[in-house]
Amino acid sequence: MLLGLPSELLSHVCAMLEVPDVLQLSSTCRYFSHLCSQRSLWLNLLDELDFYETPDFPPHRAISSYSTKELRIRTINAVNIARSSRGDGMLRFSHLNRIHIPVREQTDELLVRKVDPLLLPGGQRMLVNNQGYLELWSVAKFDSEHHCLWQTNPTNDFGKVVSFHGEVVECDTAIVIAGIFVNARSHLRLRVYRFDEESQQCRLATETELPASVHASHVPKLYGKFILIYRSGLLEVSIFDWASKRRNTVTFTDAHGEDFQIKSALLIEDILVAIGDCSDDHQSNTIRIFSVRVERLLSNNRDSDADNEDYTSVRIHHLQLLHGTGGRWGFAVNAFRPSWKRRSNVPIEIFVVALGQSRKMTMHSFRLQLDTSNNDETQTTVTIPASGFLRMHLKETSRAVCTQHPLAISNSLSYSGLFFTLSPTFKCFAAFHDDAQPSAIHAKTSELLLEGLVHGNKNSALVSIEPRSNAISVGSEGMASILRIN
Amino acid sequence: MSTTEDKTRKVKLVTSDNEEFEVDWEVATRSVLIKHMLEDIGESEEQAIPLPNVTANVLKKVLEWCEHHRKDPEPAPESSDDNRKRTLEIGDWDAKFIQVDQEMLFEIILAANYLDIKALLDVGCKTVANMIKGKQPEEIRKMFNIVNDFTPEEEAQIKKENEWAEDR
Repeated sequence: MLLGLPSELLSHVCAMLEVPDVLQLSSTCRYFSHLCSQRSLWLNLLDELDFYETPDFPPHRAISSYSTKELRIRTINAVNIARSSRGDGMLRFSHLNRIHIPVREQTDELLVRKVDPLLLPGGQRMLVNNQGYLELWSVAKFDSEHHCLWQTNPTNDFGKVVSFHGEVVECDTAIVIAGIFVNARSHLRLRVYRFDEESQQCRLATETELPASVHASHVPKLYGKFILIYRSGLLEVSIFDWASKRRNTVTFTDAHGEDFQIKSALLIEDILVAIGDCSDDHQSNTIRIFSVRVERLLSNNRDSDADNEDYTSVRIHHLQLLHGTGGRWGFAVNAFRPSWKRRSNVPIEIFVVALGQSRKMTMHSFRLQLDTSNNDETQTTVTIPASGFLRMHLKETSRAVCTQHPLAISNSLSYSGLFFTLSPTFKCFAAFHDDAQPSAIHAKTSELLLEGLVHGNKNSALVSIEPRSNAISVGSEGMASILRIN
Repeated sequence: MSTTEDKTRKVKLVTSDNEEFEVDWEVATRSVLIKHMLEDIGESEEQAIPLPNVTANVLKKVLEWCEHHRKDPEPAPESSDDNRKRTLEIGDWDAKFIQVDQEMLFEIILAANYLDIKALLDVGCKTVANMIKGKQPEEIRKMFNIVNDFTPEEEAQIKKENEWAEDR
């Protein structure tokens, strides 16, 4: 009998199966259900699948931090997305849901009446910034009974939330909302909320004030314990470790000592990658990519309360040029690395979507090999020596050009991009919007063309993309719309 | 440790049902267990090796496999792990060899595990994996005589979880 085999041999058999077969086997009886829920099996399946590029496994979260159940759910999800996106041809968006968000009484002139909906992982819930009140809405698909599960109490000393930037993580029975909140006085706070599914209660788990030097017009990005803050077009990037309260501000100069304007910055594990151009170099449309290890930047820091004196000057060591089509650029950038594969030779994949004035959107993807061998940890000088740099080998792996883009009728160039990768076969997706025009989405992947128009009023704007449910959310006055990619 | 002398050397194996097999050293040492035992007892001895966990009809089958694979190169200790996984393909000869009833298949797997013959263990496990592949739970139960011991609630829960997984 099959069940007469010892469990280690049956585990060996399970490890040879693919995810759908493992699920079928686990549905046969209690014994296999138990055997197929072992952590080692799912780590094994995950390792085989190379799902490091998918949104289910964000690069800044270590695989060891997922519970076995979470690991299982995310792996299954990643498999499903990979399977569903194997087709080709045109994909379109369809309206999934429109949710009326009651407009609250307006007392503060600073606040706009538009709601900012953020779809939570799985697309079943939505976090809404409704004029300073954060609300958590249940938005189960095709369900007309949407309701508010929880809302913040704005009566504490911080006051109403003007904007929110953060990440939402689903744990076993809780949703953890961690983010940087900006209030009407442009103060920034890091807050971590925990919403418990069973009790439907939400409580504040952590709250930390951010330095006053950080302005609300900066872009804050949260990567686990690190916060990256920069402003497009400026020269510096600030990095905070909110757990240890260490911080540093970095400016970049190129090999000739020229200043480097940050367009976008991101963290790949513990490596800060900055993308931008040099101030004297707008005409050649050159994107330059820089990288430096975060720990190196933070260890140079003397005091968390020190003011702007403690810049670390970073000299550009390696450049990769991206030649454009004229005019200034807008960017959407993302990068991935298999975080559980612990092999230093696994390349990071960087995607750059560039939107130029010539109405062309170009998507480039690069493989970035970081050579970390000559990273000298004992250096403590403020200026990082050239030898301390991470050596980069960039290889362009694909390029796609869209000749039409959503701003074809707009003369202004206010745009932004959201960007992610769905699966190894469905490489990337980019969306741009312009607040002055009806929002439109146009994206080109290496295999698929996506397009859609979000019909809304003038205030509508694309707010979030939830890759696990292939859905996007759009906010407008008193209304949130959810669209799904078909 | 393989010397020219080893090539001609014979090894005696005794099964649990007291049947004696005399095989070439090269064939017997496909089994890491037997190889280590031979090293332990030394070359001079003409001692028979007892295999109390294997019956004659199973050992006969296992030795048939060892005989065919006697010239195969030694597998690298652990490094071959990456290539070993995921390919459920089985060589032509092995596929024909493993066309046996389920009882014999499981016996071969157990024997390969006990005798420490990694390549044969893989052939066996891959065969079982191939039998499971692409089947619905009910088909798997029927094939392997598995009793559904879930309570209706548990089954509904599992179904829900897996349905959610198959949703898209």
